[in-house]
Amino acid sequence: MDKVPTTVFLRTTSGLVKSAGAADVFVYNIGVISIGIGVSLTHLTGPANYPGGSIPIASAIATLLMFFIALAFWFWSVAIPRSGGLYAYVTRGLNPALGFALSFVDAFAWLFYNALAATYITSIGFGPLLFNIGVFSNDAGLVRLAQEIVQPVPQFIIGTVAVVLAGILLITGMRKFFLFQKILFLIALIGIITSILFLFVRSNGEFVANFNTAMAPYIPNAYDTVIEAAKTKGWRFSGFNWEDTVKLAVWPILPLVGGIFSIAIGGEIREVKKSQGIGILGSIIVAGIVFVLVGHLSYRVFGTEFQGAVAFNSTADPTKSTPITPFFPLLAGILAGNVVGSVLISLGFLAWAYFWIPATLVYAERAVLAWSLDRLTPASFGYVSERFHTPVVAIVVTVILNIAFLYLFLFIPFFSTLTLVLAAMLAWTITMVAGILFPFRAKELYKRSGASGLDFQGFPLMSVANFLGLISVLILTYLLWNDPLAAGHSPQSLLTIGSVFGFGFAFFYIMKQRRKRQGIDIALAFKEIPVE
Amino acid sequence: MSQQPDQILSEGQEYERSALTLFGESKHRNIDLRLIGSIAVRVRCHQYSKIISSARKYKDIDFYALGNERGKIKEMFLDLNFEIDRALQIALEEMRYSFFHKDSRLRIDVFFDELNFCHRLDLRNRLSVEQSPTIPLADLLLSKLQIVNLEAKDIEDICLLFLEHPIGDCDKDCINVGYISRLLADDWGFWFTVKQNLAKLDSDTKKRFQKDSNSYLRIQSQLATLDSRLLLETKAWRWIIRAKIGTRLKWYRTVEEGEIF
Repeated sequence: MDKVPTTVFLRTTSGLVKSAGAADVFVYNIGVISIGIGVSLTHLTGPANYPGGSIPIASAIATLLMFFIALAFWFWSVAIPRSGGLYAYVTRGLNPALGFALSFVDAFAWLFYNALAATYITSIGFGPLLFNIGVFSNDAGLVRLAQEIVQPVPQFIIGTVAVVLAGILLITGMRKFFLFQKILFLIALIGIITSILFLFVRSNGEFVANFNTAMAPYIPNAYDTVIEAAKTKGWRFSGFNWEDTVKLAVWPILPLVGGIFSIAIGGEIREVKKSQGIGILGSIIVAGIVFVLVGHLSYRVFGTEFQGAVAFNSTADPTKSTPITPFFPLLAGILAGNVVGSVLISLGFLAWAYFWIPATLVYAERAVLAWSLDRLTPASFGYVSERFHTPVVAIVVTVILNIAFLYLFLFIPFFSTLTLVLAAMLAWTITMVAGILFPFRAKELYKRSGASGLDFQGFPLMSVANFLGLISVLILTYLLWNDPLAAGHSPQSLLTIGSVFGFGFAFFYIMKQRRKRQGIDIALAFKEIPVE
Repeated sequence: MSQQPDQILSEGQEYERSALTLFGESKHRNIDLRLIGSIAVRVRCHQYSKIISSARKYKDIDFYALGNERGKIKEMFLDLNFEIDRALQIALEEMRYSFFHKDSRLRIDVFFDELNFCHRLDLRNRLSVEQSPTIPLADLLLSKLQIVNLEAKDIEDICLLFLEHPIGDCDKDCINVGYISRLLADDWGFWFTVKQNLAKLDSDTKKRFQKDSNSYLRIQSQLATLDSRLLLETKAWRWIIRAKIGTRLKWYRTVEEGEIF
């Protein structure tokens, strides 16, 4: 590869004003991290299922592991600053067929998780919002509506609307998308800051009083009853232990994964070294700090035992829990004790939940476009609408797939139990291996890239970062593999991942042959850095 | 376009000839396609073209057009055996097309509606002020003066424009200073960049035209006229507010130059 004549495989352009700056990248990534979803999932699953785990310490461990993974991806984004994410990296750095298959399974997995995010619009957003307004304004109708809205059919309808709106937003163009993200970030920020402020100023006694008042129609003396009921059903708060804490770390790390999603839009980012640095590493550090802070404060105010018990009861004994799933924004809204406070919190968490949807669509859509530009999918996938000037077909395809996944997730039991995060781990593991080897296997491309300027005394730090990233990915994979709640290794999940991966491989070779018959050697494309 | 451009397109005159051929084709197809950039300056400044450095290299031909003519423009270049850079088309959301001639690899960039570099220059209402193969002279000058890091070739182009064309208050074969000063009185960042560039030109021309006092004096006179009009123009409220912040806040957009892709 290092003997490739550069005049053939590298083209230069000038005068490019790219659409995304450091702030856009930071907001994009922190949006996919979705602090709101991260806090909600960690606080719902953590204390209930890992009773000895400490959320603040687990969050710190998660941030550290994810930091090394992010560092590896930051090097990649500097070395190959192009859109399409790990597709661009592995096809150029290791093997084209492998790169395509990994990108295919990676995009599939994240689109599937985007379906999950569409359900959070109701369970983390609208549900708590309506419930808390209903409680504080004594409107039983709103409380009933909150309970109804988190049922599968309303979740599908609202989720579909959310995904379609996200698609329409993307069709209007990336500049509008980045502007929208900034507005959403402001609302989300207000929500999380309001939560933290209430956690700071309120005491456990105040929360107990508010919770008992809010829950009076359902459970008398609710706070203590919830804890007692959980113990009766076998849940025990065992006190801090390291084993549960390390296991718990998978929950904050799953949202932190979003911190690297800007690799999908690498070609649209200006001053890539700085912007991706702030966007990738900055978003993970900031989110990690918020996770630690909220974890610490919520233990003090909600009570460690209560958080575990109320979440445990929501599945083991729903009559002894809140009428809708006790996600963090519901508890924080009750803590606020008034309509204004709870609305600000709920709207913020609704914004956090919605952040995921268009951003993940972008992630998958950019992969689809990258395949199309390398002629691995029909040219129509890269079609740019004359009216909107955006790749409408790629956007519509990802929207339709997302809605299909939402339907499957909500209504087909097989899919509701699928966990595909191991697909991403597989993709990352191979990307890290490719990253270790890239400076040596593709010397010419590496030398011409921004990453080579970061060498330490001639040794490529990109390899070091990818080695550290690989270790972190392997630790994370081990934790996920052995945790049936977060991922596990159920046959149906592994079979699905394997099938999608295999389909990706087969598709690559079918397209390669098809293009060959058309007189096009697609192998040539993989010897150059992909175009903008 | 069927000639062997590797041999002949290395000369600026050949680029100019190709540019005018393409312009002629666009007229024939009733498309308002205008030249911008260094080739446009060449086209408008024949009398003083001798000052162009013999080492000057041209890499491409740049055009400007209205966005509602995208379809016709794409069709024209595809008919002329060019291929479009689909990746750039997607990444820039059709604000710019790049075409490569299938044989010669001659590169054509077409910018739509606005020139969006260090500063934004909206030309949608400007094509009607002058019928010419290029955008109006004032806009051609501004397209150079908006560059934060002026290169020698840009300075050369600005000097050419100042030498060849008078400054006045109309657009007919004239650099419309009234239009420039009104535009910049609304945008402090753009105004500041232009002021900095005028200062750079002032010092550069001293060295550049040491042996040509006539040219030096003409450029100095043009610079002074432009500078005074920029100062005298009544500023918009947002210009005044932005001026208070000054250079503490970045006043221009970063343009990626010579990027490998």
